[in-house]
Amino acid sequence: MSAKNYLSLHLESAKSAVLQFAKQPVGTFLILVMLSVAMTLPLTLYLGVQSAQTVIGKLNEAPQITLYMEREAEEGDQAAVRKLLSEDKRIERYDFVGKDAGLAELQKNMGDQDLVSMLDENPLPDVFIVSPAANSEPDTVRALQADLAKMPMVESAKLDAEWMQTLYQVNDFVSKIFYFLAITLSLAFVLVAHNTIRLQILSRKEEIEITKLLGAPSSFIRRPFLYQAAWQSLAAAAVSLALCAWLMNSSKPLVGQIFKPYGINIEWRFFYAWEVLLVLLVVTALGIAGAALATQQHLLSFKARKS
Amino acid sequence: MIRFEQVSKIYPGGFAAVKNLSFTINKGEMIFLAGHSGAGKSTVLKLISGITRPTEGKVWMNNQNISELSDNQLGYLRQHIGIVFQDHKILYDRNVLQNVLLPLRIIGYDSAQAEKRARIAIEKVGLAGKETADPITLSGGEQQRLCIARAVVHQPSLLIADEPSANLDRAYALDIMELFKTFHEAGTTVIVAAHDETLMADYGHRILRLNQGRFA
Repeated sequence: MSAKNYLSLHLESAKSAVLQFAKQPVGTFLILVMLSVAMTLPLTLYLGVQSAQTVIGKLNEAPQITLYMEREAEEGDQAAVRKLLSEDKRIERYDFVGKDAGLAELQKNMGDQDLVSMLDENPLPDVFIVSPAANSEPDTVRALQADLAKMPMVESAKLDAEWMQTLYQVNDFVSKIFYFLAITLSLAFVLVAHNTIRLQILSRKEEIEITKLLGAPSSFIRRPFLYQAAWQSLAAAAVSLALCAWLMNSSKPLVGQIFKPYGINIEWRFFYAWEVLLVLLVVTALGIAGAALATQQHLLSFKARKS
Repeated sequence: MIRFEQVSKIYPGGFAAVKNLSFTINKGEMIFLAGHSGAGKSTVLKLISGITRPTEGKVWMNNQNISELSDNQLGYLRQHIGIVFQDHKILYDRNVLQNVLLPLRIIGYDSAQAEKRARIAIEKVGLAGKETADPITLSGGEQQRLCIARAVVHQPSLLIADEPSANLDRAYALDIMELFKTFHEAGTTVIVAAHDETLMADYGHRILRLNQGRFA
């Protein structure tokens, strides 16, 4: 068989697969909806995780350790702490807020009330605000906090560790759900594709058997079904991507409202071109795998009956 | 071309359709398989085309033991055989031309060449002008002709027909037999199974008579 004839057979199979869909529009539509919904969930979750990553990245930079000096600490003590902070590689930067500057800021926040006249003396200590290196793990930050607390003339070192820990746990949990859904729904997708093609095979059983009796090799029989699965999966992936876009757009304002009070601005993103291509390829491959499984089973059963 | 060596076929359930048959069919020969219903004619044809495998013995075709062929090898073998099935096995969701085209597409003919050959085969069996007809609208005789056109369109070296004249009146049946004679004269090996021996008498070819799976 020449390459031209071989290609024409593929073209014919691809065309007949499309015609099969047109013959059963309602069934095709329902299967498409089922496959699309199955794919939309993990895809949307993936986008959610990816969009949240930018926020989490920013929050990772946010945790700071506040270092309260003893009230009796003098300039020499501050200099000693400054030196130690400068030498610590785990620290990205630090800012010093002197007790007078602290009081001034407090007064600013109090507004019209004259706070200074109410106090005999400035009760605030000198403070260092320490920013750990970017992407520091929670354990590293906690170890740094413990070390800072031991510095000379330091009264305490405070860190909002609980918030950071929760944030990591939520992120970890969502990622785990994403992977779980991606694996289980991919498997479900293969099974749905398998079942769809199995039903197609059963409805065209007579045609397959006649074709086989006329000498058709397995590849000839299998080909239209594989194309059918490929078109079906491609269409399902395209619909899933469209559903994802719609879901994201419609949930954007609501999610934005929820996080706004916390000063969190989620930067939503859609799939990049390479991700769209990857989704289409993977989903099509999954569909073809399911169809290949179904056709293989049918051909085996035909062989068994013949013997 | 075809050689049966002590072939028996016992179907699940214990029914012995063919018992210890041995015979040879030469290349280019036309042969009739005669016998009543259940004599084993259809089973012999199924064994020749590899649709079923012998329980015992060997079926040789062109020095190849058919039982040892893989599924795809059997497919390749059938691409060189034209089969006229007793129950026609026509695809009713396709028109006459598309049915006849099928063996050519399986072999890998390009569309234009395949269509040309299919139209010639359709004309040869007397169905010209019915290329786009729905097979369900054809009469029994016409459906049989469609089945013959599909069996010969790829010019097989072996043509086998299982009761091709069953349910046809005598005039139609003789027309069908004449068609087989034409193919035989063109060099094709032809095996026809029929229960009506009066149809075979005029042709003077070898007749293998079967009774309960054995030669009568």
